[in-house]
Amino acid sequence: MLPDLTWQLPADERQYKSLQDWIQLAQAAEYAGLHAVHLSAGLPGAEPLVLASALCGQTSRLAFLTSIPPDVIQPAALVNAIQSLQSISKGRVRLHLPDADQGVARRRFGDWLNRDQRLERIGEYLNILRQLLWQPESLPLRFSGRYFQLENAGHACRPVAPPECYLDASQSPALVATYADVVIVELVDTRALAQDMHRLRALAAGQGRRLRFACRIDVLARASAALAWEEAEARLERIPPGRRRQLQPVSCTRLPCRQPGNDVHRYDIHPDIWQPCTEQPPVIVGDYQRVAARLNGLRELGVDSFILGAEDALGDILLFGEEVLPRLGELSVYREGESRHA
Amino acid sequence: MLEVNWFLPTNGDGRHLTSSGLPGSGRQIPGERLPSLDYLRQVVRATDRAGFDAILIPTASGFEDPWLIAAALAADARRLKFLVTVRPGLELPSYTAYKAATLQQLTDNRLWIHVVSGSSPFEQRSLGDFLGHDARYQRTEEFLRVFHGLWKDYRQPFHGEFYRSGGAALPMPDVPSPRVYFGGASAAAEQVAARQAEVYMMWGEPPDMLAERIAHLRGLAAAQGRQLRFGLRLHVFAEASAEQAWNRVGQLVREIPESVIEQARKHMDSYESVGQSRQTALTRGRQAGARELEVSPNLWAGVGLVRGGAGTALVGSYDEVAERIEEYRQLGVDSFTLSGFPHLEEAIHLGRELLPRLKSPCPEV
Repeated sequence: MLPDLTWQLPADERQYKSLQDWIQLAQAAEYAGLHAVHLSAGLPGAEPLVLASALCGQTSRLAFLTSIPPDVIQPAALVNAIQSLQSISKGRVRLHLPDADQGVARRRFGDWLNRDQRLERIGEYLNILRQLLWQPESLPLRFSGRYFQLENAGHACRPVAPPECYLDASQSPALVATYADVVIVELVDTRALAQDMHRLRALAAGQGRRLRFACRIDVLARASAALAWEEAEARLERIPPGRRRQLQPVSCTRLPCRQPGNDVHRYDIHPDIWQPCTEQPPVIVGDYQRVAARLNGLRELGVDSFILGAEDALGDILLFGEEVLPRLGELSVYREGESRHA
Repeated sequence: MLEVNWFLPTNGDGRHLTSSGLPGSGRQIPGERLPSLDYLRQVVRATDRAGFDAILIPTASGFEDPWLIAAALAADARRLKFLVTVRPGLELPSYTAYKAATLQQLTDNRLWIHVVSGSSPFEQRSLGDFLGHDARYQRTEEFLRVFHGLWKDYRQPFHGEFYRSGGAALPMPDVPSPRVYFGGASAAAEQVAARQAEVYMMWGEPPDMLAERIAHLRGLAAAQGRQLRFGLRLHVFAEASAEQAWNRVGQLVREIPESVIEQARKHMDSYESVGQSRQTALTRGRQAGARELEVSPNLWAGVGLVRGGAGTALVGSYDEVAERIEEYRQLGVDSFTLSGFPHLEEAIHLGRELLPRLKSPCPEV
């Protein structure tokens, strides 16, 4: 069975701004067999809920993973908006509440709480969302917290299916275990990732809940590994040295030693997985088969779904759908130690 | 310049006075329409084709979200503007600006916003807002200052009583800020309107009452070195003959049970709204009927028996309604936001019969 595949729409505001540009990408994603697109908060001129709504009428089964920083909107007002988008989209909304500590959303929209206060507030926020949206049992709701007060909240809530809740793995583990349906994880190290997922899974199991994990990762899949790495090299040259990831002194314990210099592989974090700057997610680089194998490897670790991205959104969406996606089911387990260039 | 807008019924529509708007009567009348996207799309298309300038999209709990409806239907209209209702206080102004910039971009700059500072205390509190009436208007003013400030310079920090920002907002795309319509009839509202609004919106009242308010607002705005435009929100029941129109509203009011009128009155009395009490006052001491509720020539207060917000309608022949609108225009109103029941058929009907009479160069008075 295919894993759930979401494509993160690009942050290039020069290339994508008109409704027609976005429609083209969303339709390409749907055509390519992807299940969802991710609209992240922070693309200028592309607020996720508004953009998702504009794309609803132009697509039929594509889901919309919308990121809304919980700091910017009252929880009961968000519930109204989400219910409306569920109704407009006929149930195609997924809701991601990004960790305020992780993004720039906090500074962007103005927030002056410290970390403990933010944690306390997101706890209240999720609690309200659960009572109004995910498990509405006794509406209307009266809520009296430190950050939020409500009276008769949810008096106009409608019986629409609630969206799944996506939380970042960087969020407090207790909150993730209690509220998330899907946890967004990033790959730093496969062993650490497996351990993190194991820990969160156990924590949730203690509450009788089952978590799923979505790995945010980019892909650079080309007809041959050589072509893919050539492109990676060209991409590296476009990244100013100051923005590149700081490298550890080369001790070569984990990776085979490579030539010194501007070698593209100095930024490998794992075989075939490359990360030239830390603000960007790692990229799986390789031919179609190899990229599919690496994704399957992550599934073996316990990742259920992927939030993918690439530099050339439209072209990469189609390449992925036509070349990588059909290979995702083919391979079983990719094991460490297999020869690097098959 | 005369601007004529229409209304999108995002909590339902139908042939009856209780079909759209608040409070819901709870009456189940056969043939009522749900606000499905497929229905609202037809209203937007009809409004666009009929030649209206904009469509007002309201907001309230249980209504579809106006930003999302405008976005979902952006591709269904070619030139129609989307007049999206915004309630400050439920989200940060920088986030509202983010949504506005997005919608400007997606609609090729066809967004206007209609700022309404709140509803009943019941509804405000159900959304997490416990501010009192006058403080809400202070907050609205600050909201609009931040909102406009972001368009001028998104890096500018802001330190106000309600909002603070560190000056690291998202860059605004290269789109103009939307025109600001503003509603609110209290003294606090008038002060904020004089400083921040472009178009000051009022519900339909007899011309002499409106003339007074317009003169007052003009004075307040002039003291700020500003000029306001004035907008009027009205329902319309216009037919080929006056008799047909009055028969229609007579029928509409006769079908409503007394208990529904009583229940609606109680609900509307709970609003902390000066504009609402002015509308409700128009019906006081009058029998529920057609001519009984004609509070000035062709101005009928019957909608307000059961519907909160805009409670008056122009009733009469096409020519009479056009004349009354021209009268308001002479007073200084140049933006009219109309609605009729049901909104789909009436957009087509009034687009055909009334709009040409309003937009002709020399209407006779």
